[in-house]
Amino acid sequence: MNIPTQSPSHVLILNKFPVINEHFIIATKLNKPQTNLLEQDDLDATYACLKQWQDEGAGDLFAFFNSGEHSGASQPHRHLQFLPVEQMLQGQDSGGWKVLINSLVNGLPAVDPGKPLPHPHHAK
Amino acid sequence: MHALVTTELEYRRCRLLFPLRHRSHSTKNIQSIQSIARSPHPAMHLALSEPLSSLVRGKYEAAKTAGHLLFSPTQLSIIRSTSGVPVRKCMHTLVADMFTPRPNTNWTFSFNCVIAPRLLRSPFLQSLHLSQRRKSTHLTPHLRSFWS
Repeated sequence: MNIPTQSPSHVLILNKFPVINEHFIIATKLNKPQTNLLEQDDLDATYACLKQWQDEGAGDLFAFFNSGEHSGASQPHRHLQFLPVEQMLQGQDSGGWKVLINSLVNGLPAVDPGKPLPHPHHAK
Repeated sequence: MHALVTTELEYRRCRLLFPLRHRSHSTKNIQSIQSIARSPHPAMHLALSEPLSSLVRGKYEAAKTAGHLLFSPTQLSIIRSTSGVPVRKCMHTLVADMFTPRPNTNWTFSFNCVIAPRLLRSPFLQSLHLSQRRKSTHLTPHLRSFWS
């Protein structure tokens, strides 16, 4: 599906290899490299998806972009990924966390206090 | 490296970073960047025929039922800390720099603002000579655009 419907810059498709239910992506219509910085239309399209999802009352939608040779991106064609947060919270032992950026923006502790960091050598 | 786009604030941060690919540190360019950062919401509207969430859900259920999706086994680790997040100070510094008008500031973005300084101790990041702020042949195009 093209987005936006008029003068589309991206296609919105399901991720064939999902890790979370309703995992979908937007990819540039032009074959742009995944390794470059995002361009304005990438951000506009991403924000439009996030805003529409929120305006629909469908909960929080999480978007992310893996870029660079060490990021784990499997496709060289530029794409951004979307995950419904409520879907990420489903499943055994999948609860009890918050989206990091929301905590950072709100100035709140990103994690529950009093619980140990499992790999402290990475944080020191 | 990755960019997260989850909130309006983060969206503006990314829009702010975008022009830096072609940046010079002139006052005019700084004003242009600040203007973009303060611009209202983008005009892009998806103009879909049905709600995005129901569209995705319907397509997903149909694809799942038809066996067109391939799930991979994953592992989940939830990082918890009693003292905040390692990158917290860096993110706050970055956001504060973005939205504090300082026209005489030289907008040189240290990569420390994007990743936790603690990570500079990792062998991989040390190989990039990030602390010396030098261009490295090891830098990916993504990183090199920050550095050049």
